[in-house]
Amino acid sequence: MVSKEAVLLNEAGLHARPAALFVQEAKKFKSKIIVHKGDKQADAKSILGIISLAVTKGTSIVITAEGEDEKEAVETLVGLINSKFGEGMKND
Amino acid sequence: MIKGLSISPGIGIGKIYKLGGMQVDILERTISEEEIPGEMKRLEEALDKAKEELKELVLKSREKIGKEEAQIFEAHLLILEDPSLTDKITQKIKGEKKNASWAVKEAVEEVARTFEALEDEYFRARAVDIRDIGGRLINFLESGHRRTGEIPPGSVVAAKELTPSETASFSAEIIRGILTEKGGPTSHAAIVARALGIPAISSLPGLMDKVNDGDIVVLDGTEGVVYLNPSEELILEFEEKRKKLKQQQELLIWGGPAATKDGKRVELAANIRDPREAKAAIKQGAEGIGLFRTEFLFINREQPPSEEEQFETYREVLKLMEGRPVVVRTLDIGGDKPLPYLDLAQEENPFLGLRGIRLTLKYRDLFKTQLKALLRASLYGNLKIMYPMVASIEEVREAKKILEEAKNEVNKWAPVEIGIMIETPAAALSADILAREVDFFSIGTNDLTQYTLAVDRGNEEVTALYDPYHPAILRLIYTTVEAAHKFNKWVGLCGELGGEVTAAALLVGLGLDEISMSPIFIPQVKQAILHLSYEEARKLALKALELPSGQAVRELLYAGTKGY
Repeated sequence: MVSKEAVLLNEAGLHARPAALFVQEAKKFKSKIIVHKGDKQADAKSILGIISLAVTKGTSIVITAEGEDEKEAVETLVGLINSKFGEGMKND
Repeated sequence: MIKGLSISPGIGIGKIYKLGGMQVDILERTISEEEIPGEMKRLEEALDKAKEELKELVLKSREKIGKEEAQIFEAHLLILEDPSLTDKITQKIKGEKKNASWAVKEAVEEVARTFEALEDEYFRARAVDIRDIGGRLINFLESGHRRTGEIPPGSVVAAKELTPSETASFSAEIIRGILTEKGGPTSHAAIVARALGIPAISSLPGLMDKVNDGDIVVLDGTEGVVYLNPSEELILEFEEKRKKLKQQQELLIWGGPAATKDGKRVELAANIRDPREAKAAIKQGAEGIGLFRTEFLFINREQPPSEEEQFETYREVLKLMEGRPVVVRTLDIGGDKPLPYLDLAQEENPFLGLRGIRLTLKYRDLFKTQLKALLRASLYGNLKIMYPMVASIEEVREAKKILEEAKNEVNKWAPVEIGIMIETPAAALSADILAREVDFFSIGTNDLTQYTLAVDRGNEEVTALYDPYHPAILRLIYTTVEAAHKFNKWVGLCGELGGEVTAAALLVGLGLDEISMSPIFIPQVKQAILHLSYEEARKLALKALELPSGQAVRELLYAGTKGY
């Protein structure tokens, strides 16, 4: 099992569109991936779960993965967050 | 043949596509054990179709609107694939033995409510997306109910009534015409249809019972006439007419700017509400944007638009217009259209209340953010800023002060002309005072008529009294133009009156430098102006000022506009 912390830097947090990108990335991996925010958690492959976490700008989350590609999964998702979900993501 | 009310000119030939209303009553029904597999199958099919439709929407939006809008539908697609939603629906069908539509509705409401309970505004607003998705699924479960996204090209849309957002989702490339049972020529849906250049006719009672999907129809939006199941000859005849009209228009649009026979130039500009309409404006030969209404940025949302979002929108329009003038009107809103993020009081009389510049002077931060976005965008074209609803000089001075503050908070900007709308009788009558403070005027005849004649144009009891040809209005226009020219300022007009062919001679004769209108009217007004002599138009206008009534003015103009 691999865990890593990330802080949301983009204006809208894990809002609908960034959440969609996040879930799309997560679905590419076989591992079970969980996002923790405080004492709440959600399946990284469920967009409704991710949105209900209401992760706003500046919030820290922990991503945990377990499975054959766990390391890569965590690195990729943390990287996505650190890149503010790629160029051109507007405030929403 | 059926006669209706012309709300947007032009000829359309196409196949009827009936559009249902957006509301459907979903009934709760308990199903038997045997019915479960059937309902599950219906659900699976609806899910597949909805996903299919969303995939198309993603592609289409990416191509036509933008990557970010496409991502919204990608998110919707992910939600449809999310087991935490589908499991809930399935549980209601299999466990609680409910019909599929009800199960979808209930599951969607449960999720929407959990979103609404979230603390953050952004996240709360996502409840709308969930309900939109539910609506899409239910559309497929309840056959016969359709949405605007799937209209085939070459359609003539038939509906009881259209909302502006429905009309706004149409495009002239796909939709040949619009027929509605209800809705007047001043409705927002009508204004949008004209802006997009789609012929439209309303006031067709019983329409939905008379037409079927796929029926061929010919509509003449200019005359307000619909031909159901027309003969081959009639189709050919109108096809010819349509081509001829199009050729005439193209010649006019590309044949040079509008000027009278004796060489008096009048700039013809477009009224637009969003960047998409700027494209239509260029197509119709607009020499600029005379009125860019910015309200669309501010309404239907929980929080005001950021400076960045506004900047990008203004820049987009300025870039599209390639150096042609673009007059942007700052937020013009009042208590009749409350914004959730402003704490507006209920007003007894919102049209005489806190609106236009009065409102933005009160909500200074909101105003300054818009001004900063505009200043930043000024580097990308020929921007002019205009303030609405001005009644006195203090308002103009105060707005200028805030503009100076905004300049201090922005890195770089280009010189920008500042103007005001002349839409209160007070502003028109003191135009010579106001002219010293600004670079230009634009006369908003819709509100000017309403305020001068004390007639609420939306009130059926008095709507017949609403008459922009009333001598009082013409005299106010005349006073305003004379005052502006005395101080070497230019003056335009941006009300509905500007698009009326009948008014062209009058407006040119009154000396307006610019006339701004729905893009679709530009060719016809241009044609009218090309046939005018300024000398004669001036005489006509001065004569009109002395006539006793709007009716007398109209008669004078009709006599003068015969022949084209």
